[in-house]
Amino acid sequence: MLLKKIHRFANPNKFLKVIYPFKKISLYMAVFLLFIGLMDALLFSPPDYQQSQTVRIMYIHVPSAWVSLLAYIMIFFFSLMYIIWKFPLFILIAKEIPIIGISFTLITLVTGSLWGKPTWGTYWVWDARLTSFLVLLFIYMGLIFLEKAFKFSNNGDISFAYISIIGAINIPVIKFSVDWWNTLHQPASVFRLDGPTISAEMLIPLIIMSLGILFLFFFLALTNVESAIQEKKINSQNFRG
Amino acid sequence: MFKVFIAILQKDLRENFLSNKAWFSISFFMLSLLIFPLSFGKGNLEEQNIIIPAIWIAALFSNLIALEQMYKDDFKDGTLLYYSINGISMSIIVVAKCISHWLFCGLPIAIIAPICSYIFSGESNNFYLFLTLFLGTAILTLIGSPISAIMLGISARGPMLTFITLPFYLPTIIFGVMGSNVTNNNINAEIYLLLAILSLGIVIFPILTIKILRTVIN
Repeated sequence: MLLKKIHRFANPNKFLKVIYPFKKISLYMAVFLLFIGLMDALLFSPPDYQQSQTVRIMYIHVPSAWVSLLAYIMIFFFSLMYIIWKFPLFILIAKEIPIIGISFTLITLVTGSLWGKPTWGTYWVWDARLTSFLVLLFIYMGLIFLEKAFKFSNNGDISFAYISIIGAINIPVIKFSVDWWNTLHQPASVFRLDGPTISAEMLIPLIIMSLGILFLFFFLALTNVESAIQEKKINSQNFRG
Repeated sequence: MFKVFIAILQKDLRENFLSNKAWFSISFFMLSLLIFPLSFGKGNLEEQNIIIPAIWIAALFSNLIALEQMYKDDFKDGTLLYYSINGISMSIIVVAKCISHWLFCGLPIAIIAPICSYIFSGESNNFYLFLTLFLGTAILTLIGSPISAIMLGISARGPMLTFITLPFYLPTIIFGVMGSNVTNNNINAEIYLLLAILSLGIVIFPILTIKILRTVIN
């Protein structure tokens, strides 16, 4: 039943029509939410009692970390669906996400190290969370290089899917690294079983910022997918002519 | 089935033994170990305690070098296609390939490494180094096998293979080096972790390799 519903959107032309309003909505929502969220985070939210003003880096660092993890999870599921159902559209979507994921990963690493200097006294430590996040960056790089290596053939689709599935081992390691090992990085304070431990005044701008960055991610991903479909159309037209 | 497995394993081992591709990785291990004392200057290797990381780095890269050849020759001359036409199960081929790769690029390194460590730094208690290398090189071979199978389709595969494989090798390296540095401790958490990764990898990675090889061959 579900598969029938997915089948309807497997046609790229229909898919382009379906995603067009979503793209527009995501853009407007991203601009709106990021504006409100940045105002709230930078001006109205209270400074931390220990870290004072530097805590405001959190409102960029944490949402982009979440989104870069989400991007990898999406690549993983699209690759899995491609291997199971063999729709070319799935791998087309999965192949467009890494370039966005890597930019959010870079933002996370850079803001994290800038935040680490005033609070930990160092830009970088080789502890579990930071190292596993760096590994995520290199896995994204590998995926991008793999996609470029197969630019002119479809052989790369299946290898891209398998590599991204092998790379998904890293995601639970990143999530649970702060619980499994003793690290300098603080443990999770929002997604916990016993509710968030962060105060509401900081939680609200954090949620607004993360929704804004999520919509920004959706906008970028949909734009990339759209351009990839058009590119594929042009290539096949050239091939025919 | 077991007879076929033995026959394929014998063929792989003989090919490895006669050609230079397996000896090349052991020689590369020795050569790259030579670079570390030279690049660190006048024999202060014992103080810096770099011999264990040096051995691990050399083992990693010699494993990577041989990885490229794992399925390439058999794929190019059609042996893999011949196997699949004759209905030989892929699992036999993959397991035989992994074993022959490890026997030539893992086990000799694990045996040579304690001797090298003794020569370079004069440390005689190297049982943990042998044990972690023994487990670690097997894990490296297992992780490398699906990626080596994936790379069969690409033309410029050498650098690509290295780049894609290295991030997946990192946990093994981290636990391996930590496990080798602990000398006399009754509870060796790193060795248990390596054993856990190995026992998971023995199950998962051959299955992945089989799936990938099927799609690549057809």
